[in-house]
Amino acid sequence: MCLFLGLSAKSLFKSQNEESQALFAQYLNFIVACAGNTDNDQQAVTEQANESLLEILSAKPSVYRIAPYVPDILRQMTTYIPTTLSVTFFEVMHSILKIYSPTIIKNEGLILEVLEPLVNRAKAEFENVKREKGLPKLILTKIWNTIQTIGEQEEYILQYQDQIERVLIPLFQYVEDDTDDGPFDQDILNYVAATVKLTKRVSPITWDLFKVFPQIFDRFQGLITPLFTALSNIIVFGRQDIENNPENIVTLVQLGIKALNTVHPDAAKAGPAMAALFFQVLIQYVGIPDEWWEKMLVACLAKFVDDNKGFLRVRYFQTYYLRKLTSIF
Amino acid sequence: MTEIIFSLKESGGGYDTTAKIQACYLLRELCENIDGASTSLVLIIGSLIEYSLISNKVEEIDEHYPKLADHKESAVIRGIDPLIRLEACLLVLGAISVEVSQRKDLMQIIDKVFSKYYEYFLVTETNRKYIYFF
Repeated sequence: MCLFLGLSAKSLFKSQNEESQALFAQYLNFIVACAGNTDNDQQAVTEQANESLLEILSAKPSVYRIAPYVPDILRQMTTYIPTTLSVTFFEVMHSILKIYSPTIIKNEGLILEVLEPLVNRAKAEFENVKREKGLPKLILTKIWNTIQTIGEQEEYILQYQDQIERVLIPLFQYVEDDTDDGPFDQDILNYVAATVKLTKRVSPITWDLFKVFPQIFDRFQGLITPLFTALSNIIVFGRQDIENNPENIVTLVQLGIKALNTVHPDAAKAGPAMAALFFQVLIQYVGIPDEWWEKMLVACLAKFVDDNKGFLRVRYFQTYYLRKLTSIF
Repeated sequence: MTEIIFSLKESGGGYDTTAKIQACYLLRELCENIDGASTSLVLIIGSLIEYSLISNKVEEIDEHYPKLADHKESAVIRGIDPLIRLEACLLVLGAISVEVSQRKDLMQIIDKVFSKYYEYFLVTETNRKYIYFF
């Protein structure tokens, strides 16, 4: 039944009369009910129901038709988050939150109602993975994809950024824990990069996260590439705060100098090149005190002498040249 | 066509799944390339669904399910559990959904079946406790 509905729901009961709409809602109810089934011997049904929901919710012709039911579907789906065993279920959540954001945002606080159980499930999944090494992390990855989607939707972030980030704090706290190899480092960096770009501001919680960026950077063995987008966005949209707080400038310059001399085995030449690019962004947007200028230039000149690759030399030289321009103007 | 529908009864993976997929492709090809095939198939499926849900007695076919009269002796009527037959019918409707969705007249037939018997389709012991959220 779920398979049939997944394939045919977009053409079923298209008549506008009330009876047809009520029947359509009943059939939708049925799939949503099956999607939350946690009986071990009926996992195939659950998986199929989720596949069908994914198909129905994502099909373009259905979007307009499904939208009125989405808040109720989402509320019901939220009750399944703590217990579901289906990976596809989280893909459904991801699609609903992405496609129906204009509808969801009209229901006050609904996004926060969804986010909280997601965070709790992510924590529980991580604790399980930590306890039993070798357990698949697929659900954890899917949950982070969903959180990432929330961070990328203008509607949610512009209206609820602070509340969303407060709910996410338990996951953010994992970045301070070196013993766990920073399980969500990249996810958190992606989230920060997306939200700072969307809101064009650096939220207080992002500033708190910024303080642990050096730790994350060390875990990447001095490779700046994974942090580059998040850092660039913070520099561009938080330059006032950076300039008002010299400690931030010191942190950024130190990161850049370390990144020029990264020891990461996969860094090759791209790592130092990204570091030079990072310096260029920093110079363009932030006023840097002279003593730190000197350290940056010395580091760049040292690489300029060491490296024989043309493009890298150009990058290092650009940093030096930008300094010249900045001091002239 | 009823024999192809019968071939969809098997469950499980491996060869059965491949055979099922090929049977679905064949039905879709028939609907795409032969005039009247979609109509004929939807009418047979509609009758098969009604027959499986309401009667399941071969002797009632002539009187109540004239569309199935020519297939009385076929395996899909005689050699199959009604629930499995029902599943096979749903699978066929899913497989030809793209072709059928273009035809309003056929969608009306399908809508009619699914509105008339929705309680059979939706209310089972498993989902009774969950259903009706909105």
